Amino acid sequence: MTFLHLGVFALAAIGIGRLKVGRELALLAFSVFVLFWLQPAQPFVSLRFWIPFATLAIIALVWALTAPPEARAMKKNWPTALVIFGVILLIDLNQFFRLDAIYMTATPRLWMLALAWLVFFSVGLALWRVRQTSTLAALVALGILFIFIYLKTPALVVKSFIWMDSLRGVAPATRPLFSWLGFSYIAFRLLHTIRDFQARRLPALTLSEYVNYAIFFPAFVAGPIDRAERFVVELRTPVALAEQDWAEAARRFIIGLFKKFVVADSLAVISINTIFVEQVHSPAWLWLFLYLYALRIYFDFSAYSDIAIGLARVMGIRLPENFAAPYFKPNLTQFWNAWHITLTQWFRAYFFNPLTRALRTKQISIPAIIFVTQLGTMMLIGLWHGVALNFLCWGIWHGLGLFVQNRWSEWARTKIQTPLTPRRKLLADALGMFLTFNFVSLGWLFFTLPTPALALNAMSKLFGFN
Amino acid sequence: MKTVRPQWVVIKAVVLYALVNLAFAYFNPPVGKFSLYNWLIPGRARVPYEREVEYYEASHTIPVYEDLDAMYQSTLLAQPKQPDEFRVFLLGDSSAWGFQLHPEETLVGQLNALNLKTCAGKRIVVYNAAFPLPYVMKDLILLDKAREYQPDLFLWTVTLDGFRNRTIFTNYFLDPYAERVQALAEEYQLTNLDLQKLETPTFWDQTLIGQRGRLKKIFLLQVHGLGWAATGLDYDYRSYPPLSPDVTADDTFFETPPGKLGLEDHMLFNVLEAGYQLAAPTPVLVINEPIFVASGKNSEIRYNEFYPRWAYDEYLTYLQNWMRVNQHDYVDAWNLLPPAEFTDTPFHRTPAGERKFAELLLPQIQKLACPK
Repeated sequence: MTFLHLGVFALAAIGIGRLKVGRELALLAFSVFVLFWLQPAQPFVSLRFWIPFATLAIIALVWALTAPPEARAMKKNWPTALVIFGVILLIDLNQFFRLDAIYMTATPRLWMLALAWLVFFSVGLALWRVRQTSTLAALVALGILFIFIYLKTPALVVKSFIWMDSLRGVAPATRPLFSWLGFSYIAFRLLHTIRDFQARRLPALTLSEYVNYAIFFPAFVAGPIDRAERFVVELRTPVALAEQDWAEAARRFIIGLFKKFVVADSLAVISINTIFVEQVHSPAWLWLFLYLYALRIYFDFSAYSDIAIGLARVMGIRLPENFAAPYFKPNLTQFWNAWHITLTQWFRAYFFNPLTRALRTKQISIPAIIFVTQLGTMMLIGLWHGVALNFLCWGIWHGLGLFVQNRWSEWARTKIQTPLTPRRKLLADALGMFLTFNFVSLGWLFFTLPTPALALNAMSKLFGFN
Repeated sequence: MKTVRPQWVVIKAVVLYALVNLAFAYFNPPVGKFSLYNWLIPGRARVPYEREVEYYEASHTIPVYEDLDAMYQSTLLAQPKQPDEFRVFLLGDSSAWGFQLHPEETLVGQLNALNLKTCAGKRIVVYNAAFPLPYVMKDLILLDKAREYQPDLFLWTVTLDGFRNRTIFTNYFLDPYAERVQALAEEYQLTNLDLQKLETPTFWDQTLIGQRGRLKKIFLLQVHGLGWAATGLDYDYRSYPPLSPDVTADDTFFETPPGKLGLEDHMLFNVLEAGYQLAAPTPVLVINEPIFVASGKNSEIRYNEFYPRWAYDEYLTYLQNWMRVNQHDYVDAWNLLPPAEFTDTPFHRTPAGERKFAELLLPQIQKLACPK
């Protein structure tokens, strides 16, 4: 996202926030436009059109499979369908207007778009008549997971495009890597609604509410991952904006811009990377670059959350906080309660807790359950960032760290009976913070360096074993 | 509690921002003078330069030719002059800067390794003030700026290519200094300097918004300083194919056919004279730099891919006469080095080539450092 994007987002958010009538549909129209507008370069230029189209199709199909009959009534949803159709048609018609400054890509010919709509509506109507069952929802969830795994495995993506070239009988060309913007977050929102539908917890959402939830423009690229039942309450009845709220929204937005474009982008130049690991021989310098990376990733990631929270607030929607001073936490558990909070909560709700409950019914010791659930959760969080060995190692690093910290806390709780004096508590917290920050920072080596071997090499250099 | 009125906050912010922009344009503060180099970060051995954006990170650098203050402040040149120091500044193109070479391997590094002293016992310290661009007008602007750093002697390496009128370089390098360029052109009557494409920055170009690119680069140059300090590397050393002994059969010099070089009218030799006058009383030693002399196919037509023999010979004769007539100190090193001492272009030298070149310059430098 550039300054231009964010400037337009801010103006749109202010405009939408002030609407008394048609606010939800205006938000929907703009979010659909943004979905197309932000698409990056693709191996085939036409994918810049078809990827967002497919995103909307998948969202609509999942909605059709999960919405209760009262929410699917045609009279409630035809304006939504019309808005989505209208925005897509306008984007396609840009092939005649050539407003390249706003949107430039190879848009399909009108007959292709019409055909795509026909296929979409045929499938949609077929699904409409199918009974909504938990099994069908599970199959759709598996389909989404399959796309997710495919997208997160670069080797698979590259091979598939080489394969497509061979089918077309052309030599493999050097192209931008295929990417599906925001799918990581959209997929997790959809999976959350599917699981809640299966558990009969999902509230009745109209098509407009559902699509708005899935592609809410401030948050669809980098989160936070809100919960549908919470989001929809404020979408229906926006929180009134007092003057202080405006100031707070502006403050978050501006802080976000500063964190991203000034702090994080500058730190990017001097954060640990393959070049530094190869060129730097002094452990002190390497530690500095490692710490700078730790700061950089925090500022970069939390900046997007700040921007999203600020923009949403202007529209009367309070997105959940995603970061809560994570590097000031005295242990790893608290760190993970403060880092990318909404993603951690998602995994806790849909993996960690169900697995823990399932294992507790078996004859397995508590430490073993903790080991399996924590390691499993962290490995999955690692793989969520990319199906690669380095992300898996990063997950294992944190899974093991959490387990060791859990066992230590348990041991200390039984051994240390008397409560610590305030002074000792302060010292213990400071030491805990120091250890946690360094443990997390070392873990970033697996996250940022392309191979575990390079990460281990960096680690040995950091400790003076060159 | 005091009520916040968002519309007033926005209006005040806009007015304040406009005022700061106008004040910045009006006062034009010398932002480039403020540097972390030579203070928190060691000064660089040469000015920051990297051709390709994708190598900035590996080179721990970002070129800031839009701000000569920032450029020189990041180098050792900006260190305070010591009482026992005789300062020599090297001007020139990429071969003087030291492409493909570590700082200690460059001409400057080799000269400093000789531990030269003046007759009065002062240490002769050579500083790299070159910027990798073959254009004598660029050298004149650098010489003008480098005077602020108390030089005792300028070494100015030149080659035929640098004397061409290069409108492409005008916009690239000279635009930010358009006013100074025009003043120098008028003062030294650089009548054949093609300044048609020179674009003087407008008042709006001088605002914070207009200068945001330059300011960002200056800021990033300080940030990259940490990488430089940690690694001692300021260039990404990439492999290159060796120079071929064969050259093309073409006998033109950048599309100029034989006999049409027009050294007197079209080449910028008057910039050299301007340099001598501008530097005075600091002496200037002009050096015609070594070139690769091909020995294979078509070598009877061309010395190398840059120079057909007729053009270079014409230039050589003209330069030698010009120096003799004007009674300037001059070193001709054009055929000093064998082909094996060149790297990726007919001008870039190996460390051994630099060493030999340094040894050639040694007596001249000592002569100029010990005035009678």
